[in-house]
Parts: sequence; structure tokens; C-alpha cells
Amino acid sequence: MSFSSFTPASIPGRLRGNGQLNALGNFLLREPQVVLTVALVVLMGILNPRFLTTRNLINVLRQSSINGIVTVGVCWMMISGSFDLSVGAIVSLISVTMVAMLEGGAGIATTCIFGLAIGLATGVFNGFLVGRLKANPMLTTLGTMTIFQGIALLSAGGYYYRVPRNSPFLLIADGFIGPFAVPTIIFLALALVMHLVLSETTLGARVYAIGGDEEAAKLAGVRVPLYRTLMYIATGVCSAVAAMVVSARAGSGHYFIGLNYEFHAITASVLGGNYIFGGRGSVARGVWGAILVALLNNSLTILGFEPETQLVVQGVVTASLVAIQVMGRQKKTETENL
Amino acid sequence: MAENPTPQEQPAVETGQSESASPEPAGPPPGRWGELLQWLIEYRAFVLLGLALTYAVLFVPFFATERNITQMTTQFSIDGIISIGLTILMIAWGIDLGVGATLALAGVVFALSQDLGVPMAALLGILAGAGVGIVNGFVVTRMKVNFFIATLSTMVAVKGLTFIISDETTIYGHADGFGWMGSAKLGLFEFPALAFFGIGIIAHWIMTQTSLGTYWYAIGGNSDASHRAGLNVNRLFALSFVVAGLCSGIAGVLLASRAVSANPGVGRDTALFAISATVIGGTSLFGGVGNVLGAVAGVMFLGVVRNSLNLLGVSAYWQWVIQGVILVSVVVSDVYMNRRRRTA
Repeated sequence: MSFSSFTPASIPGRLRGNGQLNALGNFLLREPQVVLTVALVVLMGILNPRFLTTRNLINVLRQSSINGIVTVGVCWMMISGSFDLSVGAIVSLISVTMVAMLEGGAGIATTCIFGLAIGLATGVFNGFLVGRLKANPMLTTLGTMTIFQGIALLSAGGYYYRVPRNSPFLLIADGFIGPFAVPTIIFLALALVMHLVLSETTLGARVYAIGGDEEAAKLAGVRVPLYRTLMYIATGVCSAVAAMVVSARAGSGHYFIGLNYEFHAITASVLGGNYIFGGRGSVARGVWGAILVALLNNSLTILGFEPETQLVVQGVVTASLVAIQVMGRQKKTETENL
Repeated sequence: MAENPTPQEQPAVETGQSESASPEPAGPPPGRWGELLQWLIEYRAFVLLGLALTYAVLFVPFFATERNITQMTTQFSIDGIISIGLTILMIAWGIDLGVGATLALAGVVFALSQDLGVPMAALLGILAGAGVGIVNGFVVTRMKVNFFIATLSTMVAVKGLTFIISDETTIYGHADGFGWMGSAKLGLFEFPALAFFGIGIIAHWIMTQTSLGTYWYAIGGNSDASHRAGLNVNRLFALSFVVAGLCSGIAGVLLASRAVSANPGVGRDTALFAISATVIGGTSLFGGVGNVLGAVAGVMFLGVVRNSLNLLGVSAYWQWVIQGVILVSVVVSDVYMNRRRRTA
């Protein structure tokens, strides 16, 4: 077994073993988000009575929405066994462009369509490099991240753009429908659509196939480069939607607004129980993960920790979950070889 | 029939020195241009460095001044030391995306412990870098985490740790001799540049003259075969992560010493620069191929380009774009070179 293999893992089944205790252990290993959520809610409910109020929980849902929108795209990417580190830079680029257009007096529809078009274009660019030219996804998107970030800086020229006061564009963040904020609704609606496409259509089945075993998918006639490109387009468009929400929320277009978004999205996806090697998982898990990340950050804030601590906690939790997944895969391979 | 031998002999005569440059014995017999191209690809870092230097000396104002050369060499040396560590790691078929975070951590540890005396503090800073390397090596070889994901995760953890122990502020150097390492000068070059060239020579010696270097090439080329040949693949692979961490630690201490302060936020585009320089220098992302001297040339090439862009007054924003384009083209071209290598 090659320890540094790039080939995607086979779909891991249940870990073999006897006894109910073992089954419970396996369940907890496969569904870490359940343990984490229950532990967090119980712990915080005891530590701080304000945590378990409807107001705080709706607030958490709202806070999770921007990261959640990016996560929805990143889930697709992860299930197809690939990565996109450039989402944060795409968000910054689109935020700067859209708010600059609004400041210049462009209509909201034109601006939004233009933002989505940029998301599409960045996706095509990434997809061409990784899907068609078969370049390493991590390093390629690290490079395109720098390119997009550079273009964002160039178009901003070091300035902030401000959304004009009273512009209806601000409603994307500030509006409410019933008790829920518009960002929450955009997030959940987008997640529902993307979840259904992934779970109910042929396209979705092929995404799972590519993530499970790219070689086998290719032999089965799946046009892998095309689907890889589609994945990048999906993350690009999701990033565009996230850029709209975050620009409206901040009321400005800032060239570093999307900093670290890629990391938060990957964290959310893994925290929700998606398999980092691809071929397994769902958008619903990503949604759960995004909400869990927001819960975690909310708890740490309530307990009075610095924002940097949130980053460390996220890093440690992600690293341990990935480690658990990897060890699960190893066990599976061993039992198979026996 | 009689004319055939002559064109075949010609390239061998014209590019006689290139015999060692095309090691593929089973490859299709290249024509004269093919052989030239092969040579150019093999020595691309040196060719690019030559071109960039020629252009810079002739056309970039103030490039060839003593002061600029001193500054430029110091500037690229700090990132360059990381490139050397990364070259060894990548030859063993690994990569470390978190070198920038390790750099910042080492600087902060160095500055925080300066009251113990500068040599001791420097040692601690370097050890902090090596410690990150040990963690990476452990996570990758023991827990079998893909090294991209592993180093990305440790990068975030290290970044957070750096911010916590530094309390999110820049720590200034007040101890005697804190800034010595960053600014001591010998002739045209400052200490970081001398360290860079020195470490380059040592690393080149290790990779070409010792069995350790050969083992690293072996596990990067084919880990299964190396395992069967009796090498302790995991330990060697983990060691290559430690080397990369060590080099990042040295670079971090030098950077802090040069700035006479440690900023927890430095090192954002270090990985970008270091990986680009390494791959331009002829190291493959697919392991088993590469050399330290090429990486040194790659570092100098990127350093000259960066310096020239600054002198020509090109905006820093454009430099982001240019660096990204360089990395993407390097990664994409490596895919093709790897394919050729495997089929040859």
C-alpha cells in the first residue's frame, strides 16, 4: 500500500466487528457531527442559560448562512474528491466588483448577474486547469487564489467601495421573511436545490462515482474532465451568491472580505461528516456542519475566547476528524486484504 | 544511406555537454531541436535566471548597484532557505503547505524567548520549526493522512497558536544582538544570504553524496519498491518533513532578526514563493525527481523578477497576479513533464 497515494479511496463500508458496543462506536465515528452537536448543546446549555434561547439559535442560523452557502459548493467538490482553495478569493473579487458597480449606479439585477457570471468564469478557469489539464487541485487553486486575490486588489486599488444608502441591495442581508433573515433563507433554499440535484439526478450519481473511484468512473464512460469542470463552476457560483450576501451584510466591497472562507467551508463540510477523500457524503451533512461551526464559534464567543481561538479549535477539530476518517479507511483496507 | 549518420552525429557534437542532461535511455531518439528542448527543460531554472539577470542588468535602473544586490539577496534568501527544505521534502514525494505559518511561529518563539540570550532563543525558534515538522511527519506517516490535508490542518493550528502566544501583537527585539543575524555583513552579502548559500551547499551535498539523499530519492520515486528493498520508508518520509520544518524555523528566526521584531502575521505568500521556486528548479510534484542547485537557481530567478518588478514600479497587486500565474503554469507544466518522464 502506497502511503502517499493520490488515488481516491474506495467507498468505506461499516467497520467490521461484533457487539452492540462496537456498532455504537462505529456509528459515532461515522457520524461525529451527532456527538459534537449533542455535547456542545448540553455543555453550553449548562454553562450559559442565554445559549439555548430561540433568539440566539436563530442568530446562529443567520451567522452560519454565508459560510453555509460556500460550504454547499465545497461539499460537491469534496464528494467528487477534489478541492478548491480559491473560494475565499473569488468571494473577495466578486464582492469588490459588485459593490463597485452598485456605487457606480448600476442596477441590482445587472450587478447580480454580473457577479454570477464572474463566479461562473472563475469556475471554468479552475475547472479547465484541474479537469482538462489534470493539474494538482490543491496547488492549482492555491495559484488561482493568488491570481483572483490580485485581481480583486487591482480592481479595488486599495479602496473600499460602499453600497449606496437605502439601496434595496442591502435587503439581501437585512430583510426578514417571517422570523428568518433573508441570508438564512437563501442558504437553506440553495442547499435544498443542490442536495436534490446531487441525490436525485444522474449528474449527482456521476459525481459520487468520480469521487469514489475516478478510474472506474472513467472506464464506465463518465466524462470526468467535464464533471470536474462542473464542480468548479458550482463552487464558483455558490461563492458568487455568498459574495452577494456578505457584501450586503457589510454594506461594502472589501478586497479581503473572503479571507479564510475556504478553510471555514472545508471545516464545515468535514464537521458535518463528509468524507474528505470523496465518494461519500451529502449537502445536508454540509449544512449541518456549517451550523455546527457557527454554534462552535458562538459558544466560544459567549465563553469569551478570542477569534483566533476559534481558528485553532476549528483546525484541531478538523484535523482529528480527518485522522479518524483515515484510520477508518485503513481498517477497512486491512479487513479487505484479510 | 550515407547521409544518415551525419545529422544524427551533429547534435551530439553541438550540444556535447548535454549528455548528462538527458538521462532517459529508453526515450525516442530526439532530433536536434528535441535535444535542445530537453536541455532547456532540464536546466530551465538556470536558463531563466540567466535571461532575467541579463534583462535586469541591462534595462532595470538601479538593479546592478551594490546596495540593491545586497538587499535583494537577503530578501530572497529567507524564502529561499524554505525552498531548500521543501525541495528535499518534495523529492521524497511530500509537500508542506504550512511553511509560512511555521516561519511566523519560529520568529515569535525566537522573540518571546530573547531574554534567555539570543543564541538560546534562536535555537528554540529553530526547534519550534522542527517541532512542527515532527508533528507533520507523525500525522502523515503514522495517522496516514494525505500530506496536503495534513499540512493544511497543521498550518491553521500553527497559525492560531502563533497568534495566541504572541497575543496578536508584534513583539520587538530588545535583547543585545537580536538583530545581528539579520544584518551582519560580509562583503557584498548579508548573513541570511550566506546562510542560504551555505544551507544550499550542505543540502546539495546530502542529496548527492550521502546514502540518506539516495534513500530520499528512492522513497519519492517508488515507496513500495523502497519498502521491499528494506528501507524504513515511514521514518525517512517523516524525517523529510522535519527537514522542511527545520528550514522554515531557520528562515523564521532570520526574518525576525532582520526586522528586529516578530510579527505573527508574516509568511502569507511564503508557500507560494517556495513551491514555485522549487518546481521551477526542476523538482517534480510527483516525487523522486529534483535537485537542490536547481531550487537555488529557481529562488534566485524569482528573487530577481520580484526585485525588478519593484524597481520598475509595478504595483504590488500585479505581483500577486504574476506570482499566481507563475505557480499555475509551473504546476500545469509539471503534469506534462511527469507524463513524458513516465512514458520515456
